[in-house]
Amino acid sequence: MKNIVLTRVDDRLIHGQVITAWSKITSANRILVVDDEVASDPFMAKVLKIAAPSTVKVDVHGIEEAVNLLKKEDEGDKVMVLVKYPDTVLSLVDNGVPIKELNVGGMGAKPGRKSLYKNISVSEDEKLVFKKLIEHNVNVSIQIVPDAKKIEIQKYL
Amino acid sequence: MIGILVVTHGDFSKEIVKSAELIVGPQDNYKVLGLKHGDNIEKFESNVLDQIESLSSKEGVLVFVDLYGGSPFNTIAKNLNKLNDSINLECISGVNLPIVLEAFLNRDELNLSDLKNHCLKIGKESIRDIKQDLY
Repeated sequence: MKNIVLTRVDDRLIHGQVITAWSKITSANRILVVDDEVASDPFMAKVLKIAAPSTVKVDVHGIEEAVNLLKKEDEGDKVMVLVKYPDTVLSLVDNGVPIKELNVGGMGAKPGRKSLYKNISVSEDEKLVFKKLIEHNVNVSIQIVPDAKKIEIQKYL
Repeated sequence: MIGILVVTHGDFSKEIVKSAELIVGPQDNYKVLGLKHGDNIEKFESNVLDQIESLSSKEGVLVFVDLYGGSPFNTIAKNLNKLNDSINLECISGVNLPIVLEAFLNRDELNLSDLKNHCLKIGKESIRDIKQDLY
């Protein structure tokens, strides 16, 4: 199994906070973006790949391929898993990827979502997904940047 | 901790640090100074020297200025001889967001000379042709 150093829900996927603060604190040398939609769009995948520092290898995969990749032998890589939506994480967990910690870093306001904590907004369905993840013993917390306080999500659900 | 001083024309210094903090979170042990229209240049110079003094420690101070040859640059350059006697100081012109971020993120682990070299490298590498990278 690959060594996952951070799993993060962030609808912007790779951006400033991720390529500077988070990649430094986790020492990640690989980023795995898991998103069926982005994986089917070669141009968007390329945009994500050039957004990361040259020292970090970026892979963009749909859920099925991502599960296969994560279950491969650990060859010393430190992998940061980035997803747009919590249900992607639930799919990974349901498919046997051992995720114990989930960082919620960016879920912007949009139709159907309500503010949960400051700038983090969720829909009713997404709340349910978080509850299921917690039932699966995943520790879910909100933390935008490593210096910010970690907020356990459970009491807001 | 290495102190960081950003000296620029106008509010650029204040705002570039605010932008950096948006990405890496709140920072300390830094100062910003902006030269405004109508400012007295001698007063500005003494402010710059005072701020360098206030940031000074055995780890040293890294100064960023915006424009090579501009007044913030000149203010630092003309005082370098004097400053070098008492303060461990490095100065970089052409400040941009990537180098400010790198300075904040790496100042606990690198010594002043290595931090300066790292920032110079990052600053240059961060200016890229996006279309060329994509197509």
